[in-house]
Amino acid sequence: MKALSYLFFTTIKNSIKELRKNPGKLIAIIFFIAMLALVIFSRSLDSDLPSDNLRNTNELYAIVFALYSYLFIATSLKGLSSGASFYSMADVSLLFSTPISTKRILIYGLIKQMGTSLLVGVFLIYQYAWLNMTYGLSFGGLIVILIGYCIVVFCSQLAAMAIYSFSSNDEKLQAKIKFIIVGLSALVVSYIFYKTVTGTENIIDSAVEATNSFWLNLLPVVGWVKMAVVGVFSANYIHIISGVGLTLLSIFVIVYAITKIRSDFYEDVLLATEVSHSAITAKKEGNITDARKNVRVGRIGINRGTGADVFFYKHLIENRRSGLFLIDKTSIIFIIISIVYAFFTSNVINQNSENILPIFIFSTYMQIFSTATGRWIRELKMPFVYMIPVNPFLKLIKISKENILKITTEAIILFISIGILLDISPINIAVCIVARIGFGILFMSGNILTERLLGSLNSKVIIMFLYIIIMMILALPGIIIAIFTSASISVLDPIIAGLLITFIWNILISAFVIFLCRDILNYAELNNR
Amino acid sequence: MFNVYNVTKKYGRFIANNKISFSVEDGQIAILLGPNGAGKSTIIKCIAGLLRFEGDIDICEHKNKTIEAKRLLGYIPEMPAVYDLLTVGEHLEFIGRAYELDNWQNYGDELLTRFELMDKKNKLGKELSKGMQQKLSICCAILHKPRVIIFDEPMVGLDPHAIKELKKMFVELKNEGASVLISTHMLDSVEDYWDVAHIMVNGSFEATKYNNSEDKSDKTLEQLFFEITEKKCDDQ
Repeated sequence: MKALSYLFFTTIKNSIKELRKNPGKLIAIIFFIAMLALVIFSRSLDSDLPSDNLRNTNELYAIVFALYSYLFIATSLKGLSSGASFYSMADVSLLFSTPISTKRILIYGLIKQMGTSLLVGVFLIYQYAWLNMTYGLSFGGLIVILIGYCIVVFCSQLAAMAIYSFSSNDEKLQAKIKFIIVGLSALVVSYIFYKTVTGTENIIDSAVEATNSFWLNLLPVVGWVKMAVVGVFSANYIHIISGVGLTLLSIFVIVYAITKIRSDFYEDVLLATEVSHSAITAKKEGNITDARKNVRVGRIGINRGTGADVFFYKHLIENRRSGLFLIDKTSIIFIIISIVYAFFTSNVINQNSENILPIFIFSTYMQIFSTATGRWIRELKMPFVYMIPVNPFLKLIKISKENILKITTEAIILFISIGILLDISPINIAVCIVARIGFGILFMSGNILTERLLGSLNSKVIIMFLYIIIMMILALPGIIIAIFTSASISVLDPIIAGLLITFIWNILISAFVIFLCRDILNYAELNNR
Repeated sequence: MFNVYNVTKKYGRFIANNKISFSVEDGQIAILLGPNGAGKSTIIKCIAGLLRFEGDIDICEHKNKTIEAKRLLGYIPEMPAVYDLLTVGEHLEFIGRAYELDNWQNYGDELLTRFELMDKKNKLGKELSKGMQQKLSICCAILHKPRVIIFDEPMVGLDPHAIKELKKMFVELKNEGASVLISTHMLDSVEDYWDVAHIMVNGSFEATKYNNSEDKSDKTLEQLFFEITEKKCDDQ
């Protein structure tokens, strides 16, 4: 174990030492910690909310169940394609060939994975402010949810590894496992849907009650961990003990199965390690890969477009082969989050336009993170866009076309769904769609500006940090103008007028920014190439 | 032909290329030799119009950043760059459409056949091995029949058949009157099809050797290369 503990602690020590050479990273870490502290303390100082203002905590338990379930199912299903790996390529080439026992190497991997799970879960702490405000969740309570989250991530990785170990060479078994996981998930969803529709209470209460029902606590890992977490909140020791006990037992059974029955697990983690290694390498080199394993090629040929136009049609083919029509997975997740947010705040919504503003603001905030995924950004990493003999400004416009289509589709899907769900007037829906398209185009141009100014920077953390600041600088004047002038436009409702003003500002400033960045496709080195 | 006049490329204080000047005539093959970090890829990227630099570069009398120059230029990068989600055939279609070429299909098929990619025509870029990606990258750069072609370490990762085919192609391009520049640090890969060789060390040309009867030097290219590069190492 000496070599493994040496490796483990030296890696930690060196990554801390690295921070000295990389002050940008250090500043970013301090900033994130400071932000965390701010989120926690700002709520602690303002925690005297009367309890009748708080929403029912059963809703929180249902959210916890949904989060854990999504994580567990998504990660476990990876076991049917590439499996999961706790190891790096360096582990594979250096560690796997040493005379250290496979069990010890597995334990080393598990410990490493626990650390990673904990780091991934830190994003939950940022949710403290609204969870505290809405459900009165204490910081200790949030930590309990975080621990549950880490356990679920850890177990799902382990389950993916086990599934891959036992089924990688047996397609029939893979189909059976997929049938069981997907079938069980469909059953749970149908059960909740049925209870929601037939419930006597309002829709939200019925859905929450169904999600928290006793039967769903029996679901492996997800139900057990949730039962233990809820047990802590309600001081139900039987739930805590049975939840924790069953989870520990399942971990023990999976580890035992991997080490005893399939002691030679090296081959099983190799593919997953290679997949994650190539993704990490591509990220380090600034490339964005289409990591999907099985791609259905479908109809062959671009068939349309000449000159810079061909980029747009190429992007449509690439999107189709990514398994998505116009919008990507990240956008779908952000749309769902926004719809869920709108749904849960629906008690304040009515036909009055001012009440759609919080939903619009929330979805625009989410949009900052989903805009950075257009295909144009991938073109900057390839030589073709620089080499093709077309005016660089025209090329920039043409490669952005796919993203504008995506932004528009996203806006239409999001606000028509919210509109139907919450019975919002068609005028308000249309204005929200238009205003969101404006913000989408603004964020895209902010992205182009970030690439133009900071593309040659190596630290992605700093780029992300400055990207958010650039977005705020670009958007703020429009918002300020909207606030001060919307009231003076008597013909229109102030909120409607305000949203339309932001649209006009966003389009004008975006056009100006894109014009200023027209040379971005003249020199590849502006984009770290 | 193309001309490079006094090109200097700096990254901060580091000088990657220092006042480099040379020309490659029509129907000439020039090679850039040098150890790792000599600045070969940097000057290649400057010629391809990917980097900013001080000095001038003309491609067939057009400034290298102009659209006219890009039309006449083919560039094969060191790392093969192909789209994950386009098939091999679609890569050629993409180039054909982007360069607005007519009747590129037959020449495209000819290139794919030469590089043994014809049976992979419907395979996606991500399904190709590194070597196959490199071959596809070469086909894409040649499809529009450029007058100036620059190769950055083109042999890396290629199988013996592809290397043989590529060497044949260098000679064919030369006979068709194209100007070819090949950067490499593998001496044995360039053999004797070159017309002029520039040896680079620390961002500058240390020597130039011609492969014709006018060159009076009794040293082979290999001897000259090691004499220069090993002397530099000793000096440092």
